[in-house]
Amino acid sequence: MYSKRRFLKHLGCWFTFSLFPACLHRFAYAADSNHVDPRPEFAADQIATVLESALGSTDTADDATIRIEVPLVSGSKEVVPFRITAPGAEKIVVVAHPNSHPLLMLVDNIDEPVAVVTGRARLDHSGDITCYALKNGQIGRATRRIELSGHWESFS
Amino acid sequence: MTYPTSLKLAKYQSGVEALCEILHPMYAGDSKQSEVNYITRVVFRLNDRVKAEFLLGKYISRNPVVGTVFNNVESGDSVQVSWQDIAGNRGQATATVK
Amino acid sequence: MNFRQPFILLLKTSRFLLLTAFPVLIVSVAWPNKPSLAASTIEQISLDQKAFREFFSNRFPELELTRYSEGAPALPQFSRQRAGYDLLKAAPPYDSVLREAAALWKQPLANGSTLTQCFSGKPPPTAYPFLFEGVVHTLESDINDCFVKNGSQPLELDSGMLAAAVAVYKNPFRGQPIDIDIRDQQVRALYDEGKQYFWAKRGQMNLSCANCHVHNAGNQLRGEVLSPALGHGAGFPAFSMREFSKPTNVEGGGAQPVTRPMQNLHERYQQCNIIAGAAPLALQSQTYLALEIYQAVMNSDLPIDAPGLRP
Repeated sequence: MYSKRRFLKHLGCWFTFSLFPACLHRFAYAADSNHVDPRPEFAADQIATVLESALGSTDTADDATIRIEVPLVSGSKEVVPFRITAPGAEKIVVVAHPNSHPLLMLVDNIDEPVAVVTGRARLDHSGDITCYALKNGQIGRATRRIELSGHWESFS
Repeated sequence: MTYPTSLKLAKYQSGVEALCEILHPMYAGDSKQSEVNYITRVVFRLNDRVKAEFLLGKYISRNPVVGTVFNNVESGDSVQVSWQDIAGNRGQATATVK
Repeated sequence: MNFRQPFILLLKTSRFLLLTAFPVLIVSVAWPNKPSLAASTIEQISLDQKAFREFFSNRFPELELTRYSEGAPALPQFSRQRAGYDLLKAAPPYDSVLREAAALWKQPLANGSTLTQCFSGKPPPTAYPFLFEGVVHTLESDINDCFVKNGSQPLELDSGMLAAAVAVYKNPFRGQPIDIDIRDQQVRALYDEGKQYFWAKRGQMNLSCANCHVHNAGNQLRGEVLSPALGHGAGFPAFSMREFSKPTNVEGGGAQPVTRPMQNLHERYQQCNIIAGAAPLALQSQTYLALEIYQAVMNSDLPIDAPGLRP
């Protein structure tokens, strides 16, 4: 007799084997999502680690001379433009807190009295963008928050 | 594989802002795109002297635009930009200050 | 009284009605489809224009008239996103699209002629759309006419390349004022049709264009700031960084999301119809042309700001 118990067991088996191929793409992408940047500062997932490997110290202080131009609200998370002005900076580190690998950009060998750097970032979520600038052995810091607002048309 | 590179110079306060646009897909390999290929290094030079060296990660948007400002430039100065990606592709562009 | 009498009376009156109704019906069907004689006069149109501008100058008192061409980014309500707009404008993402489309203007067509040669005697983009020999000319239609006359395949209306080609023609004229000729009665009849379409409610949400872009201009719809109707069209074709829904079946209104970087005005109209729950019309259809004329007349003297950027 085809019992209820047996029916449920078979149903479970069918579900498992029919859904398994549908999940295969997860495994296919898993290999790539594990891609690790060969540079330690870009592979780091903690800001402290980023600072340690990029600037050699985690000792930072707020610096009012650093100016970050970013939109307060961005409609697109794929393109978030920013411009950073840091007078006297020798090295600039730009990190995005919400990203799984926070280091966006590291600017080195700066040979200008006032460093101005521009870029366009991708963000995972709303969150802070922080700029760390190394000048005279001190690390200055400035932060701005960006809210991501999805385009409402995408939802309609 | 070649990716078109363009260098645009625009006046910025007392200096000149050099903006480099590279039509590069910047595959980060973390969404449905399985390929990994992104720009890792962009160098700006003014009259063959390195002015800024950008190291980029995979969180830079597609068709990236990176730029820097040269504070002391004169007409006729030459600005060069060169880049390379993780797959070993390279590109460069040159512009002259007017 | 005979009980049949009322029926006979009814029959007689209906016969009379039929006799009178038929000629009227035939005349009304056979009447040539010409614009009605009651098209707005130039004075009425200038009054419309004045009222329209007054509304916006009261709503946004600190905004100069010329800045309306930028669309929503010009509004004070957009200030939180404005920095992003300015930074993107420093190296606009449409530059590469324009470079690609500029090659199209120089590329020889099937008989050796080029698009640039076709447009050598044409009016500037500020005068479009205009009426010539009873036909409304838009930049899109003129570009495709040139392709057809010279033996080449016309560009698809929603291909993005056509919008980019239009942008290449408009780009050198950035900042010049829009100047539409409304002396012809047919243009004014189209103006009336466009005006009716702009103010009439439609679709599942019972919205008119004016509901959002006049009465709620500057207000937020989720993360978006609604653009003011004054200036609509002056910034088109526009490069958009959003994901749009493309109408798969224009009559049915089925939609699927696609990314279309460069977009012309009629594509934007379709998009607006879809998001308001109304069936989109065909690109370059008479109603959309009429709406384009209505908006262009309202925008008279505003500078064109094409290609625009919609972040």
